[in-house]
Amino acid sequence: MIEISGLRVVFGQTIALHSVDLTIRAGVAGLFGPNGAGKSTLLRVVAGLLRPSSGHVSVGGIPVTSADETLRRRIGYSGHDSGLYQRLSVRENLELFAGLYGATSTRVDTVMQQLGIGDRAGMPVGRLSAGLKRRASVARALLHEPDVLLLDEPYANLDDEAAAMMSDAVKAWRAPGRVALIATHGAKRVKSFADAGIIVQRGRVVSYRVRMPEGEVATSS
Amino acid sequence: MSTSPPASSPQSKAVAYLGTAAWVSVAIAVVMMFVVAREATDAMGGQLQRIFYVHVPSAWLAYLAFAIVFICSIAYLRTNARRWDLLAHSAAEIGVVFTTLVLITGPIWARPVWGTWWQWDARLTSTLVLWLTYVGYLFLRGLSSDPSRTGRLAAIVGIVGFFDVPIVHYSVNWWRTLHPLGPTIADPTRDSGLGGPELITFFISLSAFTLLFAWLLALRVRLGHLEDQAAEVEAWEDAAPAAAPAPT
Amino acid sequence: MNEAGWLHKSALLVRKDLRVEARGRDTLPPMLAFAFAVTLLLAFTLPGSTRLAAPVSVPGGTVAVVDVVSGFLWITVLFAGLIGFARTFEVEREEGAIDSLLLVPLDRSGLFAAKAVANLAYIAAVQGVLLPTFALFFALDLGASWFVLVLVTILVDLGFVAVGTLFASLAAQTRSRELILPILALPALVPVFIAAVELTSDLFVGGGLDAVATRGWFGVLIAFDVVFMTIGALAFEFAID
Repeated sequence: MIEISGLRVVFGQTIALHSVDLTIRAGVAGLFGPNGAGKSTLLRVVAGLLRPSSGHVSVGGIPVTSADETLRRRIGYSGHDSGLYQRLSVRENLELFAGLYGATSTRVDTVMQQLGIGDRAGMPVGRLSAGLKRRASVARALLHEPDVLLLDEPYANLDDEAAAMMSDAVKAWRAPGRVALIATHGAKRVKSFADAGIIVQRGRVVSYRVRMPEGEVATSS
Repeated sequence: MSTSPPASSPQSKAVAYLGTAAWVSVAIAVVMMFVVAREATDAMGGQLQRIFYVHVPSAWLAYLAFAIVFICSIAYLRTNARRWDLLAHSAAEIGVVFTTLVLITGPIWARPVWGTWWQWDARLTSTLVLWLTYVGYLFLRGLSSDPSRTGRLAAIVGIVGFFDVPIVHYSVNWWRTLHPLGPTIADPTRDSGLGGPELITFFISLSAFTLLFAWLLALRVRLGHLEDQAAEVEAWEDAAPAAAPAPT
Repeated sequence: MNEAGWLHKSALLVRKDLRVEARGRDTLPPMLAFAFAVTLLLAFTLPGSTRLAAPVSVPGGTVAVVDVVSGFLWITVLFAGLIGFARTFEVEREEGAIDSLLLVPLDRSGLFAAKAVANLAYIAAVQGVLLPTFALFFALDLGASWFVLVLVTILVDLGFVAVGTLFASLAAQTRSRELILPILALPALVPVFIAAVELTSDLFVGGGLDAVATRGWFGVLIAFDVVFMTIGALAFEFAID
């Protein structure tokens, strides 16, 4: 599903990703590593938000740089920032994106309930705590039931109860053929249900581990 | 990654030859301007008319430069290849230099001949707008907050500018034709009444300036390549401590 | 999933922008305040409004005060507009909303159209206040030709927002957004500005639709609108990707 070869990302004088080769066919993969390792950069490239300096990245066979609309429909991304409008309420934000993706209002209720933000639906996003913003952001990424889910630090600022909700929402989304990349520097929470773990350090994939014996998740480097 | 030849490569020799040819022909053109070309009529400024051997080629090259910016900008957006961006940037800088030359030499001639430094006629106004547009282009390049996107932003300005200038020229022309406020200005090149020696001088001058333009462009592109390489090396050195092969 | 079309999605985005503006009031009130302050200052600089036909000397001859007034009007519109347009992408920058927007399955031309329409709403609101203010301060009497002025204004605004929105998207990615936008946009807007001033001063001296329609400036405006709406819609993809 996600195919990365020879990926290199340079920001001016700094090299964020050196030479990443990675293939993920399906399943949930945790992306582990310290801050500044290149996890966020990798997610942004796969989402098509960042143009690689060199190398090829494709999702479902379509290059992510192609700005293909059918490809964008299949991607759900929640980045470092919430990606929501501060002055609009949680519900208004989700309804807006539901309209843009062609998802229903029922679906809006479902994701809000999954992430436990239903009781804050009328609150402007700007007034939410960091943890609630994160949940609302992931709710937005799940809204259109994407085939590829890219989450950047979804557990940041979450207490145990909220973290469990987050994991459950991802597990509920999980289906055969779908693939998720979840970046987090605290690996503990993702490890409990991830099919594979990828460790990134200083812009390189330094190790990976596959849990599923059938080898549905495979990485190469 | 950019590749540029070392200083003694055939390419850099070609640039050196081009430079020599440009300066020799500029020297010839200058001599011809003053020796071969005859003095013009008083209506065209007498001695001063010689400034047109600099003024008109500069204007042509400014247009050529901005046409190059336009074409390279489109090519850059399509291919994302750095060489097009570099060529567009280089051409824009040199185009602004030549447009500045046009805007300086014009008034020097106009002051004694028209009795005024400036007239808001179509050609003058649109040249000024042209200059402003590409000065804006260079400003944008300088102020961009993300170097990897500078080229794309600038390319859009390069494309918009190319479409805008004909509309400016057309509308100003129309505006002043309908509302004559001062003396109407005859097209200076058309009424110049160039004779044989003057025409020859003009074309030699035009060729000389074109060579000069080509040389400057080649130099500027080379400089850009070298800057890119320097940045690459720096980035590589910065990253070197982290570049130890990872265990897999 | 029952997915909506380009127009519907773009309309959703316009509604979003206007809703955010209604909550925050970050853009329109400053534009209005600016336009009003400039009008007030201009009113001090001009001779009494009873002498609108009085000659004013300009380089190359003299013109009537009324010609200067139409220039003042459009300069005020231009600058008030650019102040507001510079903020076009501010709402997208907060909390990385632009990322969510870029991932939406909608052609970039839809994003451009939505931003341009929101800007059109702002500038039209400014003009809605500015035109009566000018008429009051400078004792302008448009008589029956006020609708011609509305037509002129619409044609001017389309080109203005097309250029303003496209360049605002570029300026948003620089270190000095508010400075770079006028530097880029003003030269490009010269044709629109000339046409607007010419048509408006004709209307101010009592010309009707038949008088101004023969002048051909509508052609300049329409050509400009078409060219820059097209370029904006096509180039926007490269401006924000």
